[in-house]
Amino acid sequence: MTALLLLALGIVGQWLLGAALVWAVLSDRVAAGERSRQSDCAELVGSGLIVGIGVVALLQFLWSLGGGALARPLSFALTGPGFVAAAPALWNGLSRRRSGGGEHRTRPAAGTLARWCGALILVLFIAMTVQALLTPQRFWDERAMFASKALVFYEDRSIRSPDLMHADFMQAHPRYPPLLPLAEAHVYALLGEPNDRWAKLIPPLLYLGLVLAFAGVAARHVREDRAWLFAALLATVPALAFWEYGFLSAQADAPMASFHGLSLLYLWDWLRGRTGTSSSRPLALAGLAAGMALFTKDEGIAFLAVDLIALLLALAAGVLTGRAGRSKPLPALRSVAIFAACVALVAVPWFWFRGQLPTTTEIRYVDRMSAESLRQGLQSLSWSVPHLLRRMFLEVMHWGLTWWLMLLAAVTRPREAVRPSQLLLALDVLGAIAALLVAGMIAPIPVEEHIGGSSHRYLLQITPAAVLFALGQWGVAKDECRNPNV
Amino acid sequence: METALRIGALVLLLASLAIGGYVWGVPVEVAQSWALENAPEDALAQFEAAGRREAVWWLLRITAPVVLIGSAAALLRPQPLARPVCALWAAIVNATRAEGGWLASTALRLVVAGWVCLAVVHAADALWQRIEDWPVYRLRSGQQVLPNISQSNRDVIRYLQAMTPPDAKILVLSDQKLFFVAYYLWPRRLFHRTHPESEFVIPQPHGGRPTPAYRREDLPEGYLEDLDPDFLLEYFENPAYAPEDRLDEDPLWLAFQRSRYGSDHRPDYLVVLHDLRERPSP
Repeated sequence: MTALLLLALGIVGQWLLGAALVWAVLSDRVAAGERSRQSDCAELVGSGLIVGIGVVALLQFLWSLGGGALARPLSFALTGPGFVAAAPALWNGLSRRRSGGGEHRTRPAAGTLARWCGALILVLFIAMTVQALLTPQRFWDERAMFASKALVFYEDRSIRSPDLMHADFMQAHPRYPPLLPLAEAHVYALLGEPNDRWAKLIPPLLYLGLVLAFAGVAARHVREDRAWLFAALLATVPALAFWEYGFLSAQADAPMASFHGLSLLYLWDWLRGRTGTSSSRPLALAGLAAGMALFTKDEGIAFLAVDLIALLLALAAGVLTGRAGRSKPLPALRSVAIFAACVALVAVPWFWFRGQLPTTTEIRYVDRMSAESLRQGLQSLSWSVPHLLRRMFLEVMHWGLTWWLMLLAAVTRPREAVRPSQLLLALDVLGAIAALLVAGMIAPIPVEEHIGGSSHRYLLQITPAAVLFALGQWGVAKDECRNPNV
Repeated sequence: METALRIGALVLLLASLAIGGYVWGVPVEVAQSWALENAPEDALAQFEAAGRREAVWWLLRITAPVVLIGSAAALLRPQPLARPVCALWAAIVNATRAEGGWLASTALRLVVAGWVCLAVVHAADALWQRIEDWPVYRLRSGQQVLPNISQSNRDVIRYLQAMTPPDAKILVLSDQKLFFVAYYLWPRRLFHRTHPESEFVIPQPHGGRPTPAYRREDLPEGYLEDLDPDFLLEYFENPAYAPEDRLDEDPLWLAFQRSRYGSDHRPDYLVVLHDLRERPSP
C-alpha cells in the first residue's frame, strides 16, 4: 500500500512538474480569460501530463549520462519539486487571474456539450486505466523493446549498463529511443520493485493528456463546444481507445500519438494566433514535444523532418498569398529556430549517446537510402499503396472513420485547407504516409510483413493530426477580431 | 422529457434489481458450474468458460447496484437530469452545424453518428476481450502467466529458472527469437550471437520460418573466454540444428520434461544446458 501511495504521489508530482513548465511558457495564453475554466484546466492538465512524463524521462537520461544513478532518490527528487514549487505557483497564477488582475473580460462558462464531453473523457480514461492494469505486458514490442530495457535501467541504475553496450546482449533494437523504458524504470523506482503491470499506467495518462490538451488548445481558437466535441471524437478513435495495441498496452505507438500530437497542436496554435501579437512561446512546447517524440520512437525523426518541411512550406504559402499574420519572413524563421532549438535540447544528447550503442537488428534506414535502393523498391508501392488506402478507408469497422472525417473536411471546405495552419496538418499527414511508403521500399523485410504488420500502429500515431485538421476546417473562429486568414 | 426519463429510469431500476438480486443470490461457483455444463469437453475450453462466467458475474455484481442507485435517483428526481439531456441534444445539433451549408452539416452529422456507433461497438468488444482475458491473467504477473509465447519457450524458461541461479550469465545458441525468454528469465542475463541472415527475419508460429543460427563450433575463437558466461544453452527447434540423436543428450532436461508431461515423453526439440562455472581457467 505504501508503495502504491508513493507511486501515486510520484505521478502527481510528475504532472505538477510538467504543468509548471507549461505555465512558465504559456501562462499568458493559458489563463487569458478567453475560454472557460474547464478549457484552461484541460490545457494545463493535458499538456502538463505529457510534458511531465517526457521531461522526467529526459532528466533521468541526462542525469545518468552524467554518471548519476537511476534510483528511487532520483525519482523522488524529480517529482518532489512539483509539490513544493509548482503547486503554489499554479495556484497563485490562477488566483490572480480569477481576481481579474488586469483582465476585464468576463470568462465564459463551459457549455453543456463541453461538460458532457469532459465527463465522457474522464469515464473513458478511468475505464482505460482499469483495462490496462487488468493484464501484464504481453505483446512483442512492449516486452522485447521497452520493458526489457526498463528492467536493465532499474537493476543496473544506469543507461550505460555494460550489458546494454554489448552487441550480443539479448535486446531488440539496442538503438531504440529510451523514453518509454526510462518512464517505466521511474515507475519501478517509485514502487520499489519492477512490475510491468503498473508500468502500464503511463499510456492512459498520455491518452488523457492528449485529449485534454486537444480540447484546451483548440478551444482557444474555435467555438468551445466544437473543440470539446472533436476532443471526444479523438478520445473514441477505436485504434487509440479500445484496441489492445493502442493506449491499453505499453507499446510506443500510442505515446507517439501523444507527443507528436502535442507538438502539432502547438504548431497549429502558433499559426492560428492573432495578427500582430504573435508569440513564439507555443513553439517552445512544440519543439520540446517533437524532441520527446523522437526520444520515444524512431518514427519521431521522420515526423520531425516532415513537420519542419511542412512548417516552412506553410509559412511560405502564407507569405506568398498574404494569408498569414506571419507575413514577415525573418521573425517567422526566428520562431522556427526556437522550435528547432527546443528539439535539439532532447535530440543532441540522445543522438550523441546513441552512437555508442550496438547496431544489432537495427535496420538503419538512412544508410539504406539511395537512388538505387529507391528504384529497386518502387515495385513495393504496388502492394503498399492499395494496402494503406484499404486500411484507412475500407477497414472502418476496425480502425474507425478518422480518414473519412479528414477527407470530408477537406472536400467540403477546400479554401480553408490552404490556410497555413491547415496546410501544416495536411502536409504532416501526407508526409508521414510518404515516409512510411519509403521505409517499406528500402527495408530488408518483405513489404507485406513490414508495412502489413505495422501500418495500423503507424497510422494511429498521426490520427490526432487528422482530427485536428477536420476541426480546423469546420471550426468557427471565436470572434470577428481574429485573422480569418490563418 | 421528464416522463420519458422516468420510464427509462423505472425500466433500468427493475432490470438492475432483478439482475443484481440474481447475481448476488447465486454463488459464483454455481454460475461457473452452469458454464461448464454448456462448454465443450476440452480442458482449456472449460477453464476459459468458468473464468469468463466468473468475470461476468463479478462485473454484474458491481454494476447492478451502481445502476440501481442511479436509476432510483433519476426516478425520484428527474428534473436535474432532464434539462442537461435536452440541452445536450440541442448542443450537439448546434456543434455539428458545419459552415459549408446543409450538405456539409449533414455529412458531418452522419460521420459523427457513425463514429459514435463504432465507438459503442468497439467499447463493447473491448469489454468482452477483458472478460476473455480474465481467466488467463487474473491478477497474476507476467512471470507467472508467461503470455503469448510458445509452449517450448515456456518449458525452456521454467527449466532455466530451476537450474540456474538468478544472477547467472547465460550464452544461448539458438534458432529462436529469444527476447521473451530473456525478459522472463530476468535478472539472469542472456546473450545470443545473432546470425546476420536472421537479423531481420520475422518468425512464424510453430517454427514455420526456419532461421539461420550459430552452433557452438561456429563461434569465433576466444569468444567464450571473452564473454565468460556461467552457462551455455543450446536450444534449437529446427531439425537441421536438432538432430534426432541429440534430443536426449541432457538428462536433467529429459527428467524435467518427463516430470511435466509423463515418463514416456520425449522432447522434439533440442535443449542442452552446459554448466561452465567450474571449467579450468586458462
